[in-house]
Amino acid sequence: MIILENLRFLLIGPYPTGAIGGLALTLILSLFVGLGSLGVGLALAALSLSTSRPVSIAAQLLPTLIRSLPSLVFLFWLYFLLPAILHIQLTPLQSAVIAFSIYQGSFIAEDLRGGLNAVARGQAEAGAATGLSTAQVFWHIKLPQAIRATVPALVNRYINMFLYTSTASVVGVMEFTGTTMLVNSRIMVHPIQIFGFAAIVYFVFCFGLSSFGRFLERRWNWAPKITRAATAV
Amino acid sequence: MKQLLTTPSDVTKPVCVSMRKVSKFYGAHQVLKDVSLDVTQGEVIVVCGPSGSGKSTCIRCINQLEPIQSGEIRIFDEPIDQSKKGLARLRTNVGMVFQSFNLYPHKTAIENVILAPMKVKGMPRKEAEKIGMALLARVGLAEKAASYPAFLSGGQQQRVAIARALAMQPAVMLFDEPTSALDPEMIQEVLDVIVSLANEGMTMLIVTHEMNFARRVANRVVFMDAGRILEIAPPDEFFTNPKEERAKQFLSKILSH
Repeated sequence: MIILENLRFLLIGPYPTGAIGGLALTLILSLFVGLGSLGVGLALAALSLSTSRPVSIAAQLLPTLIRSLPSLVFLFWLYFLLPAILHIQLTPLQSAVIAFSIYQGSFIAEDLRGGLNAVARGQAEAGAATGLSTAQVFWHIKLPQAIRATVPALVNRYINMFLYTSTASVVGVMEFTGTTMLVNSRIMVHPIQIFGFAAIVYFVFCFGLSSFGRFLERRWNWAPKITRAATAV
Repeated sequence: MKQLLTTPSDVTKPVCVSMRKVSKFYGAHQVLKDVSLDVTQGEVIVVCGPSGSGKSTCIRCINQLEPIQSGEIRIFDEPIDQSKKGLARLRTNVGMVFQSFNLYPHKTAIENVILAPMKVKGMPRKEAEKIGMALLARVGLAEKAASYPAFLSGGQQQRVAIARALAMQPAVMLFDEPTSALDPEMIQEVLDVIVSLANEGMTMLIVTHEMNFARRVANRVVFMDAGRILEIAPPDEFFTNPKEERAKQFLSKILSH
């Protein structure tokens, strides 16, 4: 069968004789972008709460600007423009990780900001009243509640992010979609099987992600309603 | 303006909280007008008055949850240090219990109690848990230590909140309408805890509408209206023979049922 004959190449690319690719590279890329975008999202969301107005505005303006570009255009920016302007040459993989991290991080920042704003005001006051600093209140009190409230949206983002890693093949990152296209153009006659296989693989991982999201929602079942504490002001 | 009983009769004890001509504005609206009050160690002050009179704002200024625009607040004869460290120290010294409990919903009862001792005082978890469990036992909730707030009744949540405030071993406790959000049958269990604190000599400022309770625990009752302290009197005097017309009106409304 056509898939089995090419399975090894689809999963890991030409590795170990060449660079790692295929599904393995998609997973590596997703892992880096997943962590990177969470970091970017957290940083922007935290900065948007800053008491310094310029910082807060900048932290909200940046996601607004970035979100109005297609992620592929943003990737082109990094891949083609940075070398031209700043004379920094990034590998395709580096460009993809950085571009997608900033891009998806902008969306995550907005999700988290919404979650943070939904945390009852009394929560921060209770923390402050026991002597916790603003940073401690953010980290130990606001953020866990915001993340809990944001889980469905974050799962959405991560599914989206996972699927969009496929566009990295356009700048030459030979991840799963890229290798699938390579196999297809080499064999020419079995596009249905080859792209059908790709669809199944993407589906399995996305289904896994949404199941994990539902697991987290059950696991963090410490409050039926997140704003429960806000019974009266 | 006539002299108020702003200083307590017992001058042998140290002054814990001293407010001098404290004023606070929200924009152009003045919510506290020249509020002056001295609270000595071990005193229980009940603050009452109609809604919007500035009672809550008054006690929230003491731990700087609300900044003030003029006047001075001193804690143990020290002015309030506005730096981060100063505020943390102040709030370690002055505990607060809120009307809406404000327990952290993502933390169990014991985790609610030990968070600040661990993070602010740097106490090891074991030690904090030991103190926390003792405090939960004290408010009658040792068996609920592992419960999340959503699974506790309002009265239980408020008792955990009291334990959480006590965990910092404060010298003064502020209560901002601690029973106003509770069902009637849960009010008593919370008041009982506050009474036991009073009996142990905890210095407290309590904003409440529970007048029977006020009569029982207060050393002095402070009556506020429109941002001013209008009357300060021992509870017997205040409840039987209020001097201010406004206080009479207030009491006739609140005591009629």
